[in-house]
Amino acid sequence: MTHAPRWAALSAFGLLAVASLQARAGMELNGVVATENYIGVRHGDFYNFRNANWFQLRIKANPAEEVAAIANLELRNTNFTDVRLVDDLWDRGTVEPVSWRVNEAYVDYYGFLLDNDWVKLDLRAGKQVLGWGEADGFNPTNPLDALDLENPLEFKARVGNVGLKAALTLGDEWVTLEGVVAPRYLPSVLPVDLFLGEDPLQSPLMPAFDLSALEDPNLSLVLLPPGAEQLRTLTPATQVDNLLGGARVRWTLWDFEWTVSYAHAREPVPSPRAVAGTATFRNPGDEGCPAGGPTCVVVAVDDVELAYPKIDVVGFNLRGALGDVGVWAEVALILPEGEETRITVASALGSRTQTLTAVEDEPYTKWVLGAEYTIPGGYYLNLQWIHGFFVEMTGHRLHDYLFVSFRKAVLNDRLRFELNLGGELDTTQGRDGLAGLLNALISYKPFDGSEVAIGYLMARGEDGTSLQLFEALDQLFLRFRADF
Amino acid sequence: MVRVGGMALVAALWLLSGPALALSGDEVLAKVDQAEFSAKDSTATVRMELEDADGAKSYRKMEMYQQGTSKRLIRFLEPADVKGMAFLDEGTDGGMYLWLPALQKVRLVAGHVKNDNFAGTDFSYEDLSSDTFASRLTVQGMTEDAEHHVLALQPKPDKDSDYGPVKLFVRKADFLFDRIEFSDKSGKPWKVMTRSDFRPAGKYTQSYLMEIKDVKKNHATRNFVEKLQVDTGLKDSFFSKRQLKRN
Repeated sequence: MTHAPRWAALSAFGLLAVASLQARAGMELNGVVATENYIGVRHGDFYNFRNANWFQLRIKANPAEEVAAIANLELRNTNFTDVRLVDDLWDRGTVEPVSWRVNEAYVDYYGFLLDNDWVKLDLRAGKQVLGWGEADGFNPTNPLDALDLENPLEFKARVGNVGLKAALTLGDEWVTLEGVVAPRYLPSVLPVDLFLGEDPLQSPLMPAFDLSALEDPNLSLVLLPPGAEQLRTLTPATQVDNLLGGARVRWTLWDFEWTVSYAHAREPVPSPRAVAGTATFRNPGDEGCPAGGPTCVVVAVDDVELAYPKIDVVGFNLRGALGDVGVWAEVALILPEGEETRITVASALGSRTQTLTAVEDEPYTKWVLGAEYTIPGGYYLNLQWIHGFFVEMTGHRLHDYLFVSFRKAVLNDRLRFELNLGGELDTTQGRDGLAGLLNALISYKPFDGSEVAIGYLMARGEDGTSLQLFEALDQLFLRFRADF
Repeated sequence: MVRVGGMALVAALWLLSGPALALSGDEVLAKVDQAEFSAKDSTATVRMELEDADGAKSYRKMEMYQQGTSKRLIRFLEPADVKGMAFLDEGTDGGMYLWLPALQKVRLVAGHVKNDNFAGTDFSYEDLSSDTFASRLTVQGMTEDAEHHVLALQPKPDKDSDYGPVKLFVRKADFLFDRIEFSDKSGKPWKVMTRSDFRPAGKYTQSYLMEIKDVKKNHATRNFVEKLQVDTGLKDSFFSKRQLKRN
């Protein structure tokens, strides 16, 4: 209560300041208020209920005709609390944590220094999402934007990174050259709890980690996996040799948009660089050891150091139409910088270190082929064949996925039905490498700028598949949203 | 007698000159294109009112830029959930593109959606195309009433159109049209576009109210022109993908 006058004064000042700026700079304010509720339908899995409430504000101002300043800010809270101690109950911010986010904040300069019939230069400086890649949601040619899998099912979401983008347009858009540099590596937001599972060392977060190389025929090796708190992530320091950057060339020919790109970046998912463990020798039949075997060695993993492997990506994109069918292709040749994992196991007999290959330095290719078509009557169909999911970091482990989306809107786009089906195949595993995902959504716009959506998600798969990870997320969801 | 003979002469001259002055359907269509696309360019702010079969209304607001007979750029200003979405028709030699602000991507409008409705309105992408009538339609015949040339038209075979016969009502006074009746390919009535509130705009005459009604869905879209400027000197480069995605 005692803070009320101060808040009121600050709010009034803020409103006056915004109104004044709005009047001076032709500022535009738009935003979204939304509440999302997820109800887990598999009791005990991951979560039973999750709620997120967010307020997003987009501010745009044009101080000059050739300049645009954009900020996309977000205020968000969820039903999760940070209360750990009874003392925390006095703090509203701990009981109900709120996060402020700067999704994007950049300045656009159109025709910067060069603005004539032959050449135009546009700059974008600040926190921004690049949006490289022509495929829908899965863009292997774009390692520069960090993934935002806070909602693990929003494959399309990206986190804006700080950077400078320059786009040079030649002639009547004959060719566009684009260069990008980002001074820091921004880690992706990953559903770690979901992915780690019971054995983090066998999770997709560490796809190349294989302990079989440590096995000794004279010993029975039992591994006690680490907890999440023993996994440390090394975020690359902001220094010149860690710069991210890329360039691409775009042109239109035969009614197709063509893009060739190159990017120097890092994988969105970290891999283990160093593992430290402690070995204890036990007799066969002791707790955790098989009976009747050789001497049992129980290795407890105490510490895992994760790092983001460097990659270079040569990309090719194509988008256009074959007849009435919209088609696209996105192909990424990934040139990884090899990473090794140093494993040190300490025991009463001393310390033993072994090095395994975490990331091979062999090039491999990920690609997406897609098509879309609207059947007369307004039935929209979208198909994508994806070779290589974002967690798959070596050419030997790439799975194939087929995603099919079907949409139909009625009542002049007010009521929309959407069905998304995904299938996964690990060709090396045959029937044991199958998985599937179903996502159904009905959304209704009762009034302009408002939407109510209800949906259902279900995933099933064999162990070792990527979509199987989403089994724990089987859920009903309900979303209310208003844009203003 | 002299007086009667004079009148007969006038009548004879009128009868003789009549066929020579009468315009063919193709000539009327050419004059429509000339009248409709007389401005070098135009910039308009348009409020759209959408009304469904139950009388429920919703609104949109957009900026519309047009150059000559072929280039058009449309950007939505309201409501918030479609704000920023933009459409570009590059004209005869180019394509049709959409800017999707949520995805930050420019998308080519492929053939399969050209006959779909644009952002919940009764306009299809085909309707938004800024090509001349003569480039899209062939004259099948012409009738007249007191105020109109009424052209019976048919989409050209090489144009990918969902429409069948089209009837165009052209005002004799200025060759601007005030009504179009679109049929589907089976000849059944589909959409009716009417224009009214004709007013001077610069040295031209323009309609400030247009309604398109889908008679199958019983849904209508009305465009109220709130602001209109002509011959402002828009450059060719304005009608570009670079401009489309500009904030």
